[in-house]
Amino acid sequence: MSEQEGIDIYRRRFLGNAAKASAGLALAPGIMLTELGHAKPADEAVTGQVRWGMLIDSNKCAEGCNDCVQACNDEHGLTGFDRPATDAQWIRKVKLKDRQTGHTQTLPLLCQHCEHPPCVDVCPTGASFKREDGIVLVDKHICIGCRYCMMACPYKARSFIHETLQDQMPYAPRGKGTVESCTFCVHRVDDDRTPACVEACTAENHNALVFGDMHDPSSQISQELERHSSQQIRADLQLNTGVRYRGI
Amino acid sequence: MTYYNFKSIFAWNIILYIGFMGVVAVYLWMMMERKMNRFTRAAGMGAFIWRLILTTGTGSIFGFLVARQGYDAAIMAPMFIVMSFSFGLAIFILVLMALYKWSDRPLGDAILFRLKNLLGVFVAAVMYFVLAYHLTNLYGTENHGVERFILLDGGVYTQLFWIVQLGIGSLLPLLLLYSPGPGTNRAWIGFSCLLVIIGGLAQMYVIIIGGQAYPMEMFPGKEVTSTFFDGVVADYTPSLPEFVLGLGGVALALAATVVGTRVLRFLPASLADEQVDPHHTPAKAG
Amino acid sequence: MINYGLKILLLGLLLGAAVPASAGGSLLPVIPEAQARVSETQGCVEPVDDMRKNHMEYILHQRDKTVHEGIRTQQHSLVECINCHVSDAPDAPRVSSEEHFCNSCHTYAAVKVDCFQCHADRPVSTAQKLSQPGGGESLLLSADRQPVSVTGDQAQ
Repeated sequence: MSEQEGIDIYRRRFLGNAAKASAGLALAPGIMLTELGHAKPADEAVTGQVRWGMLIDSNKCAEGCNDCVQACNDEHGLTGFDRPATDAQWIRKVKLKDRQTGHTQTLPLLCQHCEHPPCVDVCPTGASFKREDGIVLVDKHICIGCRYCMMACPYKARSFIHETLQDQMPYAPRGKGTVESCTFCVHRVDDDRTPACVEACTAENHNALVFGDMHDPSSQISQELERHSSQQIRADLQLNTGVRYRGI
Repeated sequence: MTYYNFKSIFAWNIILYIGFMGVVAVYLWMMMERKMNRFTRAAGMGAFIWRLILTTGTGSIFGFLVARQGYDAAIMAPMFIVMSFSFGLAIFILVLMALYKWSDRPLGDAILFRLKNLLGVFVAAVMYFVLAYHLTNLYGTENHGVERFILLDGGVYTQLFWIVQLGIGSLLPLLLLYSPGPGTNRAWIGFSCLLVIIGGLAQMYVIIIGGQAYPMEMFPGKEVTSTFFDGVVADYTPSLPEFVLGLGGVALALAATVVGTRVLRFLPASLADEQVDPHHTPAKAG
Repeated sequence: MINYGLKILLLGLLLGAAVPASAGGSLLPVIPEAQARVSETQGCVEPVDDMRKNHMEYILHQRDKTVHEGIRTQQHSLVECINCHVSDAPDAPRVSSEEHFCNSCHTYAAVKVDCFQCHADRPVSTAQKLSQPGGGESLLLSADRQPVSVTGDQAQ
């Protein structure tokens, strides 16, 4: 048998495993894979034909519910060091109270995955970057830890790792001396799954979070965005955020 | 995949600082090599223009930050230039006085008074820029939050601004430098320089730390609370290593200056009045 | 800690006993066996000689493709290296140990490996076991680490 054949067998076995894994997922309760149209072969680069986005309906976001935050922490192995000022929070719940009317509401805040991200503009090494499909990431291999992106981000979405870490999640590498933020669960998205926070919100039947391709007119997020008015946080900066809100 | 992001003003600063060292090296060479002396002026002008660009870059590190209410202002670049003139000249006067004292060289009043008068102009210019910056911010309601924080109820930042930056670091030295008695006294001039430097440190602290401590306005008209300190003024005290690191930078620069002026023959042997000013008429011996 | 000390002690005793007996004791690293072979004829995802010499090139190339382009083929993926080369037994050696696949050779060659400052040094199956409720959470969260507090959304 030639070397190539060996590799082919290897690849087939992996594909088989992947199929089994997705079958298992589809059977799991409370998980809806509504965006199956985007299956991307693993060896193909992401393209700008897709733009991942999230629609957050503040009216449906339950006060006191932290399931999205917990799901994110579990998914990425985010642990604290009892230092709340610097402990990582990729997604956080914020409570708003209108100064004039007293109306209160709550919503999750995370990296807004801007089309024109200020963090990418200011990064000296190109470690802050935006993928073709609109997901804003930190390439920790080339991040020098200067934290200028943290100063530039209008959403306070980024945090810095001060401590030596161990037992990171294999699909969420993170380490001391680098900046990090929400990745839209890029490892899940590349595997045709939805981010952990969305999954958790849906499982709880709150359905406040919708994730999908904003360039695909038939996707749930595109249709909802077209049907209802939505807002961007700090729309004045014209960043064209990938995360949109309803009810703020 | 590391590459140089030329849109990043931070990346530009790396080039500007390292480039400045090169430009100054050329300037020194032109001054030291007799054959090249005719280019000294051009090289000096080149170094001066470079440092203007350099400080524009430094100010723009803050000026370009669109997200933060305390920054995001074009005035940051020229303000940083005038600040560097002021604090830089204060340090220069102190270093000059020390070097001439240590090496027993004459330093006349003519040049010293010229420099201290110029320092007064720079101190006043910095105050003008600070005034223009805050007036502009105060005009627009959207910036009232951050202005209230710096000017009224920002605790240590407010105190640093009014007492140290403006009182001790600007008005007092201005008064001293231009009043007939202390303005002609070397000890008072040196003291005024020290005040300008202390005021400068306070000003940098208010801009750099204060500008970041104030929470960003994400939801206008709403009170924001969260587990991540949203809507809360950030708490920061410099740690000992940070403090020592800053002090170490100053010490390194001063050490390089002392060694440089001893090893290389740069210091004029005399800056006595008759050397500095050809029209100088010695005071009549009494 | 005690375990580690014991091991060193035992190793010392063994060496002390072994050296006089076998003069030709090898200094070569003891590389742990992989969990599987790619095929009957080939052990690793590239010929073994090639992998020994060039694995870092493959991983580096794949790293940029994965992070920036979302290409997640498994042939040169570091996660898959670890999945195959490190056991998911609870007492499997960590990268700090010379018995860890990567470190066995890297110690021998005196080349520092910094992948694992960020990347997991144990396979996906270990991480899954650890993150399951009651599945050895104490292992995942060593003494000085607590889960991020998510108790309500009140202010500080």
